Amino acid sequence: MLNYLSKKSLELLITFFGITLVSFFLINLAPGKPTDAVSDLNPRMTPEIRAIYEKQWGLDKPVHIRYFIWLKNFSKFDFGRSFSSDSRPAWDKIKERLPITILINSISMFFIFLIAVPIGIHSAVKPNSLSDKLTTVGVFVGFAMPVFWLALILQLILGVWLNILPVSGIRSLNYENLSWINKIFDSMRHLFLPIFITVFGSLVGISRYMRSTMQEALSQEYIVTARAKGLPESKVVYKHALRNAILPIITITGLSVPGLISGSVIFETIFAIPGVGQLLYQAAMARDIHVIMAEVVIVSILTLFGNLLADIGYALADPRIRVK
Amino acid sequence: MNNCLLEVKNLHTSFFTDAGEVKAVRGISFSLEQGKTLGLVGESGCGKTVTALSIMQLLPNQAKITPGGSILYKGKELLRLSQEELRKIRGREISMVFQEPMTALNPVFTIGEQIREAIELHGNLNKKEATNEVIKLLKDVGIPEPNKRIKDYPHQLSGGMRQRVLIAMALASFPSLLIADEPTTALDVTVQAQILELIGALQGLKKIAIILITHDLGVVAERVDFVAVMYAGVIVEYASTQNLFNEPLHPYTKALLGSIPKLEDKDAKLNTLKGSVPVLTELPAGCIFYERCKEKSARCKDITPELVEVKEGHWAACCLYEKG
Repeated sequence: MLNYLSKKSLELLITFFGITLVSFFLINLAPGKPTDAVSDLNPRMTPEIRAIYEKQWGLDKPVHIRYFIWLKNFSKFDFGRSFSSDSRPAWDKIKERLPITILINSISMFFIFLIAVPIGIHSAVKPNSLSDKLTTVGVFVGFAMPVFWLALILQLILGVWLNILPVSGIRSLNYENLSWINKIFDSMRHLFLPIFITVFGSLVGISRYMRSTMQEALSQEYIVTARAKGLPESKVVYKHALRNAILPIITITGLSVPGLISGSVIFETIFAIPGVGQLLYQAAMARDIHVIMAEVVIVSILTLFGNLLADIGYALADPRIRVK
Repeated sequence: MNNCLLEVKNLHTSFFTDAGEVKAVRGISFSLEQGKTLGLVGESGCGKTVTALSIMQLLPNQAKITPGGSILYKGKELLRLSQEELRKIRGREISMVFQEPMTALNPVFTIGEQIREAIELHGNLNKKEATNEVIKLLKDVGIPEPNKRIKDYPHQLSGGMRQRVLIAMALASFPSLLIADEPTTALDVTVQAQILELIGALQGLKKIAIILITHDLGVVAERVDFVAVMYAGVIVEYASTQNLFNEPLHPYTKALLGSIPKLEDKDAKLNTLKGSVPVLTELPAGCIFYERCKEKSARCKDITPELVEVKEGHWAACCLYEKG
């Protein structure tokens, strides 16, 4: 197991540096410079001042040199300062925004599994039944509907017309004056829509996957053996079949991390949630290389960590992997 | 007939597939007395396994037992029992050993757990007593170091060992009838002999009736009391083992016996049975064995022979023995 883990970690480390390399070059290939925001619309800007300005940020050097400078700073955990007017260290900007994004995604993940896994099991146990068909249609509707469109429509209906939920943000204006129980209630009301949108859009993947792995498991011979023993059907399904069918789902969990984070970019922008997704969008718009790279680092670490957790989870759950 | 443990009468089982109705078992009848052994012999696809699964009522979803037949077990009509009542018969009264020990055990549970499950289901033992019972059973089926092996997962055992585990599982709640569906087909020849010996020894020890399903006449020769030869979903010959081997009546049985290679005659050409089993969706009129029969006559094409008692206790379904 230790051998397996160290090998896996080395793989992930190499992947990580691959990601930073490709990302850095891609960002710099895109047209425009981080300093454009300051220089382009300034009528008094001369080419000389612009050159001084770029030199100040180190943008005059070729890309590959700049990548190595970035790597050197990264080894000291220095991501550089933001190009935006606040000029704060990129890492500080991310650090304060990370908890809300992780919170929303963890809660979403929890609900996705809580809903999708039973849907998948039910569909597999009673294939082509009315309830199977209804849930299938339901999850595909969620899949087919563009998340940003659904978010806007729900904001309009629930927030504006019915006025029962807040449209954006994570706190009401009077949050500080509320009792602690009302504070929790206030946060729940604000987080409901973003979480609902994320969960609704992601149900289809896990539930369909669960359905097929469960059907596969139920068609295996050990299921006939279990029934021939005289086990009640509930034990056959929820013990013998589920334990086998859940294994691939563990892998999917690890792989779904990047999808959730890219989803954060969309819903945090729409709902004005001050998370890393919104920051990434703003940074990309402002060509704020240092913040984008710091985001890339964080997102890749989260993704790779998710993969590692999935591998470990799989190894713990499947005795056949454990011994290798 | 008071001693009758199992009595199957006019059993029809069909698979309803996209290609049409496949009549896998077409009206078979046999009976088995307490503590006796019956060999069910025939080529692949002749309906042996479907017969076994029909008795257990563990048929796949697309297979149905046609109403009109009857399976009496200890005087009880199995076809009219509820799922719950059937569950109590399975394992406790009738249990089954499957063909593929590789896939018939659940890969993610230890073998100890899988056997203990069967014990706990039918007895009132606590966990420790049940574990001791598992160890005793594993010892009975000849597994060395059973107190260590109970923590093993199926993939850690050889095929022969896994089959022993399955036998232990089948015997866990002292059934009166054991159906062994080709228990040795997937195993090495030497292991085959060991497993068959084990089944024979356990039968003597526990006084259970056995239906031994096989395509190998050599397997049944020394080990069963009666033999039923199946062909394309029907029983074509039924006799005591001795009578069947000394004086086979049906041309199919004769051909099967003729195709067993003889060690003493090294130069002899191996007799084979030409042709293949008819397709069960488009059965020809008349005798189903007509195409491959060496003793056919003109009238075989029109008459579907019934199983008749040619000599005392020796039945055959062939025009050669039709009365009149």
